[in-house]
Amino acid sequence: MKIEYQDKTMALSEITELNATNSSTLRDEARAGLKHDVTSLDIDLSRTRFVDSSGLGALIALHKTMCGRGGSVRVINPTPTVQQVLELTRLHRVFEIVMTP
Amino acid sequence: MSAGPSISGVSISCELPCDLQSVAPFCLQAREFLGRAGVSETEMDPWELVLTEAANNAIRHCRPGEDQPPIRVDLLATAEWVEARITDHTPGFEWPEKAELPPDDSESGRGVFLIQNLTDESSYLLGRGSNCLCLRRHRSAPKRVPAPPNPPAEEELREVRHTLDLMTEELASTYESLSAIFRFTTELQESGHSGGFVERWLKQLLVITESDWVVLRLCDSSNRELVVSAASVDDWQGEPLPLKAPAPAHPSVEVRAATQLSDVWFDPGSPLLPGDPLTHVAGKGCGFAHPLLVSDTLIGVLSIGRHDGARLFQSGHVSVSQTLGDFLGLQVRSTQLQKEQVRTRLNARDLEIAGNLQRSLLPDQLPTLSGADLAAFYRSAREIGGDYYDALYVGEGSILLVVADVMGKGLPAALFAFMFRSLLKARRDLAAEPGKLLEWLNRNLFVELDRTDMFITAQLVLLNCQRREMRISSAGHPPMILANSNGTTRGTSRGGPPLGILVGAVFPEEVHSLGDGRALMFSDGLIEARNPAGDLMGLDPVTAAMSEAARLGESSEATRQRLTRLLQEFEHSAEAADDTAFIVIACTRPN
Repeated sequence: MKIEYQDKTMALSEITELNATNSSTLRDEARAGLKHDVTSLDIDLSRTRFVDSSGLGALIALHKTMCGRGGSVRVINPTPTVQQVLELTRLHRVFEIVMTP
Repeated sequence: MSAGPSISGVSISCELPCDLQSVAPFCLQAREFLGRAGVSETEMDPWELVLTEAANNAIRHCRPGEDQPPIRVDLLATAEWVEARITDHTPGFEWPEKAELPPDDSESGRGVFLIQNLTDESSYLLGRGSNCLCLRRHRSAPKRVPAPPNPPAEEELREVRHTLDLMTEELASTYESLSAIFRFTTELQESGHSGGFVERWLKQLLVITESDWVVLRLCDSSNRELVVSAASVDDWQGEPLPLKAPAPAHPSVEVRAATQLSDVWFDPGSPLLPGDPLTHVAGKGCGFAHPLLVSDTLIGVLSIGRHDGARLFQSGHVSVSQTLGDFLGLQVRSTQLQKEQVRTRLNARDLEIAGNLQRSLLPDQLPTLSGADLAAFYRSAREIGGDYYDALYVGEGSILLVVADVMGKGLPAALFAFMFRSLLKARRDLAAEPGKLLEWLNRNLFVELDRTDMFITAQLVLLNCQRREMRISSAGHPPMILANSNGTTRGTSRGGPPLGILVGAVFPEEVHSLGDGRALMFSDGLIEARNPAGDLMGLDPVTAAMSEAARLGESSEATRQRLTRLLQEFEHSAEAADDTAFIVIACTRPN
């Protein structure tokens, strides 16, 4: 996973899978990387081939963390498979999903 | 991992250690297998997720710190479907009938929901020492040249057809078992003894549950032994099994079921122990022993199974076996004790389920529109009935009103009411011509209705407040009562035959102007209400009430209350015999 910062946005990318074995690590590393001025978290899922319910749990945990500090989470370019899972579990109503060209 | 051809497809089996790290590599192997079996990429993604969730779930339920037997996964792919069986050796867990999503901010609790929503069938069979999660998903048809854009309702319709197929399957077995219960119970009451009854009952049970053998043992009069009362196997008389003697080190499956008072399962993974009397009939197959209880008292054990150990029981067959087994126990007991009352308790759960289903059909509230004001009444005679009413928006200023009555009561009636509603909602695009919509409903329900000897009477009214007219079509349903503001009344025509009677039936339409009167759609329960002396209420008092309501220019709610009072006062203390549903339409001048 790669972490980058731009202004008040922290961006996570290069996530290939979000499953029961790696999602807590991702969550903890992302939380640790949150500098005090970050108000927006972008999670790039364009290279994520697989997300299971544990992965969804990690995304929600980060969403709660960000809400707690008055910020928000955006999910960027999820793959069709991942988008279907988000829609099936109705989490597309929770996260802002952004598709960029 | 081992793979090979199976009876009608290809299969693979593998074992996973109780470690979450083992799941991802396994899923990649599973994808490879599915690919070789011709499963498309798009279908593999849901399977990868389903298998991951199922395996994670099993692993999380392993007792920590103990040396756990591995989790076994069997995958079978045929041309029509893919099936997965995940066998765990954990204490087991709750498997909900239909998992709900947790609150949006919950970080867990979506696994079972995903599994159930990405498979067509799922059941979790709890056994002693091992449990099996059985999952099945139909394969999609081979890709064809893309068709021109779908007609609006086609996709929704496809889903409904699929649900219908599943429900019909369920209904067919339920209906069979219900009619078997009825038939045998009548015979039993007429003959007054239970001899041949039990044998015929067991044969019926074998057919319904697709099983190969069944053994019924009953407790002897002193409750010290389980004695074979009936078995589907000729020339076999099992020795009585002692219940009260010092328990042997390895009790048989039947004795374990009788002492634990819970189902005991066996299959090639946890086979019968040597010396178990059931080995004679079961061989190396699978099955279970179910204790028969009446008021918490053991009266016997019913064992049932299949010779093919790979054909594990699906949850539907298990619950039918349990229900019929319990019912059989009850009948035997009630014959023994000559107590009729005991019987009803066992059906309570089925009745409750069907009752919930039935109530869920009715709209929470009726739509409102300028030019007509609506009120509806519904009362079910007992727990469940087949009456149904609804009001659906079908376009600007138009509402489709429906009253339908499925012949009979109980689970089959409630399920048909459900099917009727699903089909109706799928084709509300046909609502402009209620007669055509009835023809379509008749064609699409005919096979299922005919197969179960049932029918539905229905009335559809398209209320168009812009054109100030009602377009009415009926299928064997009581005519509507139309009342003018001067108090005169008339009925509508009877229309075509009930749905499910004639495959190519035609349903004429008639159009009436809305005027400023009152109209009533109703099911026959209203005019067939009986007073304590047994007299029918008939049409006249209802017509008179509608005339008065129209003359006074009452609101629909006031008329609803007027008719409800009429019904209550007429029936007085008599118990309602049939369901009753009606809709009052009060025509008003639009604002």
